Amino acid sequence: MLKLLKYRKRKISITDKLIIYYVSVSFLAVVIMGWVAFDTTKNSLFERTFSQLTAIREVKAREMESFFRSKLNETKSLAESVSMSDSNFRIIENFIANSEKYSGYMITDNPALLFGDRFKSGVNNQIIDYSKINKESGNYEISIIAMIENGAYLVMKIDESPINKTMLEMNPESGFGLSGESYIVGSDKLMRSQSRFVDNSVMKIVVKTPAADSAVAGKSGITIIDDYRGISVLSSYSPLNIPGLDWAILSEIDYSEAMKPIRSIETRILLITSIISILTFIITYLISKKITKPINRITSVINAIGSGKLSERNRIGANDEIGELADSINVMASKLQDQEIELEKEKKKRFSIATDAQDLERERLAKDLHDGLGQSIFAIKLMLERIEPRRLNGEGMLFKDVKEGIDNSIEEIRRISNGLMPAVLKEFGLPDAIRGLCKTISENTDIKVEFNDYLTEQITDKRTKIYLFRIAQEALSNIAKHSGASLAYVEISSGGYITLEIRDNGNGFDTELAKKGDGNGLYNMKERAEAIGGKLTIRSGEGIGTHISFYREGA
Amino acid sequence: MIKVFIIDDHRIVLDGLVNLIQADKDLEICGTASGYSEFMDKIQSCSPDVILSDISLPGKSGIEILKEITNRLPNAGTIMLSMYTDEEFIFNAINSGARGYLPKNISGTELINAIKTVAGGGEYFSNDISKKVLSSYIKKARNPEENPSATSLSEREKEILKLYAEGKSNGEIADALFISIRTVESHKNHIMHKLNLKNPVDLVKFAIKNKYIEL
Repeated sequence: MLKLLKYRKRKISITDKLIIYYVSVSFLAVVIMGWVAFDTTKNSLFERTFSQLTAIREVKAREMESFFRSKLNETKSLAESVSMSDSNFRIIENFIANSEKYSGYMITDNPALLFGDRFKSGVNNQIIDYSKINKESGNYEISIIAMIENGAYLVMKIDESPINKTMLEMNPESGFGLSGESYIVGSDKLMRSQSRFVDNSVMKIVVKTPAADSAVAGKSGITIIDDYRGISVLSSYSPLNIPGLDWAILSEIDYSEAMKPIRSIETRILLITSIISILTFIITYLISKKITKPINRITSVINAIGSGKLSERNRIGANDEIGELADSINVMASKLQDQEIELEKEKKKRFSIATDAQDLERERLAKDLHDGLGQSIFAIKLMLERIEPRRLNGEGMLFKDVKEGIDNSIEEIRRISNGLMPAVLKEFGLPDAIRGLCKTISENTDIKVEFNDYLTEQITDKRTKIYLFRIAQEALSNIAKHSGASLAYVEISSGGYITLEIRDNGNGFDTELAKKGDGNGLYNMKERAEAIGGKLTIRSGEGIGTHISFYREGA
Repeated sequence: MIKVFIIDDHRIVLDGLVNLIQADKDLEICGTASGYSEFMDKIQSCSPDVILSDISLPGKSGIEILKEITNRLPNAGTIMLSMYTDEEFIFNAINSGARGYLPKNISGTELINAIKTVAGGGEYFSNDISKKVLSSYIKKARNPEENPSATSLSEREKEILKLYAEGKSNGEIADALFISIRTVESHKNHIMHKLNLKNPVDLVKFAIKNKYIEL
């Protein structure tokens, strides 16, 4: 359940977190900076483009205005220099041929008939957009009118070609690039100069755009609109100040061309954003690895310590917080280890004290039974022996029963005393005592126990003697009770060391399982072995039986 | 008169024995002691025919006294008297020169009989004691000892010798037997010492000769 809960909470590593944080922060920063740069560039680009458009528009407007002003003056001078005689017409024709600006002329004494209310009577010198009147003809004709005399008027005609000459600009180097143009519209929104993009557009194409509307309405300004072709353009517009002509001039350039530099900036910003993001990712990854690696190492050390490997230590690493953490954990582990060692020592000491006390108590009890009670009862028996049977007055049977009872008591005392602490051990040493154990099992069970004594010298230390005897006793008792063996072998040997080996050919047992419980006194055996400075190895399993081996360096 | 010396550290038993023996007209007490030193003091002024001794005594045991008697008074017969009837007690007593062994639940009559038998130069073992001696002898007769030079090695030593003769290194032997390399070396030295061998080559020769390995 605990494990389940642990896994339900999804693990996000520090590396992941750092990468997410740093990449998003850097991405955001780059995006904001990019956007600001983009916007600033775009605005300044607009500003520049518009001012360029306006400048060109102004230049064109001035040119057109001065063109018409000069044509008006020319016509006026011409009218003043001629009179209503045929010879004069030649002068006019010559003038027209030389100037190349005029498409023709006429002389009329009734201009109102020709121009209707467009003609302002009383104005000697004026311009009339005749094409507007004569729309159906589709002809483009600007009439420059000047009074000759006596109500006769000279009308000079101008067609689109001189206007186009000024307005139409095809050269990309002119500041208009590939999509820029200036053109003129009349108040009827019809084009009065040739479009750069549509042939024969004069008087054919209607420019229905907000820019044209505003310009015709007498306003000037800049705007972004869809032009007569339906293409998005930056437009600078203003009315033309030519008396008699309610025209407007527009300079426009395609939005896409004007924004071309922005596109490359956009691409560059995108590229930079990507590069910075990738770099941030890589750097963050490397940094986080540098941070998490020692943390992971510390974690595994802590886990090892947690699982009982108290000798595990962190390597002394960086001189930072993590290094301090590692040091602290090392100190903690050392203290734990010290405590563990202390505890283990204490445990062993207590075990020794308790075991020694128990052994001592048993020995004392055995001695009391044997030397005290046993001898007393034997003495009583000897006293009874002195009673003459003939003085028993027929109580012979009872007398015999009493003696038998005494015999049984002595036997019982001997048995108990031997069980507590075999006298053989005390009187004749370890080999004889173990031999006695082996013999007892051989006699009382179906297990044949063989014993070999290879001691080169007697074991004199009483504690060693008693502990080894107890180990052998415990092992043999286990063999008798649990092993199912038919043969057992015990040997004791020495020679700069002491070994005690007990083997059987039984079923064996699971040593791991036995460790958990206090299985068959294995723990006690091991503790006893260690308490006398030795080591007990237990091997067991199907096929090999059980092999208990005590080994101690030194005699 | 048969002179009897009694050694027992239990006053009450000693008194009982003295009373019992004095009641017999053929026996007399020439001295009693409760331990080795007292016995050594008193034995100077008394030459007993039979010595009756307990085995479990404070200080030196009855067996030690028995050895002393066997050396100093070869003519005196000694009967060991003990609460214990373990084989180890009996054989240790016999090996040290006891001519009789009686458990401490013996009847007075049998005790007197035993003293008289031993005094007459014979040996006396009570019924259950004789049985134990006999069954042990039978067991030994049925399992004759093998070649003593080979059996003087312990099973562990034999294992080590076999592995060594097979060409295994100390480390491999240690791994195979779950013991330390130092232990293996210690065992090997011990084997050479036991068999009175001079060098490792002799060790291998011995293993081959005694068929620990097959060639």
